[in-house]
Amino acid sequence: MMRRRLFPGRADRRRGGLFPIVLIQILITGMLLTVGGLCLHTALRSDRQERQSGLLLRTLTRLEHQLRADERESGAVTAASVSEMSFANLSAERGTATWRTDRGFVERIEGDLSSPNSRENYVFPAGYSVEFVSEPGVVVVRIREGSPLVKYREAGSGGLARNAVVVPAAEAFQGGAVGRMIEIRLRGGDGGEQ
Amino acid sequence: MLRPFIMNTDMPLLSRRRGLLNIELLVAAAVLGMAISLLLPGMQAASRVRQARQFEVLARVELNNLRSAAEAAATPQLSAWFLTRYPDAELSISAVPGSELWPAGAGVRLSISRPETDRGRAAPVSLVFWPVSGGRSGATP
Repeated sequence: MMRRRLFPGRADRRRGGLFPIVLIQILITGMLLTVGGLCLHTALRSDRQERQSGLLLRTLTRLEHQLRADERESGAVTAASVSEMSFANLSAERGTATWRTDRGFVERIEGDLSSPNSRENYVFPAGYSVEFVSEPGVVVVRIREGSPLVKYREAGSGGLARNAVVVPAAEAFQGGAVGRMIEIRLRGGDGGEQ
Repeated sequence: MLRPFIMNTDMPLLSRRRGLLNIELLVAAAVLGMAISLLLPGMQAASRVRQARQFEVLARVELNNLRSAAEAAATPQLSAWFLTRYPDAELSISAVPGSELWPAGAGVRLSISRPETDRGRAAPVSLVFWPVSGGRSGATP
């Protein structure tokens, strides 16, 4: 009525849609966007898990292979602390293999520490930590997973980021934030301190 | 340039259209649904393969640990860390008779399997070693 009075010469044609139809369109569009977003998120998460798992398995396989080789050649290992152990008597020219760890970063130094023959690095995914635990007759290389309740730096590795914690777990959840572990058991020598 | 956006009753229908028809939205939803129904099984399969690969690597680590225990004359048992990850895992120990190819004597076969989840997905992982000679040993999937 008002429109006809304001625009007398213009035909009263409807533009746009009815309100329920617009609502239905918004609903369907929202569903499409939500499902598409969820799908994308799942694909990206799966890709990240695949990369982390691949890095872990590659590093673990290399580490175990080298540890067993050193164990076979040397016969026994001695853990000086939770972050250092050594295989003595590898061979005349190779001398001693010293293993050091700093959270998820493990280093193997062959020969004299001041002038090593070779160095080799093993970098675990972010959040992992490695320690050498001495038990009666064995030395256990314990690889702990990061906590599922902690968000670690995505760049990821024990090398560069040194597995720094970005968001620490809340105090209330610390008990449940203990990650799982992997153990490699090696024949121990004279036994070190734990 | 702006002609298609000017309301003109003389222009053909397509050039006057604005927005989407409901049926087009529904078709888009159906296409997206089909894409997801193809994508999800693929991602689940990739996840299963990843888990099977992880089980195989960890089982090899555990078998090498058990081999050291067996050579030290202890009865091999699955470790707590492995059982925490795979509570359904089972260890089996069997003797491997000596043969012409390997006359060193009887060997020991250690096998870790997951009966509940195997069903053609994750094959048991085995390690055969000869404790007397202590020389050669090998892991077989």
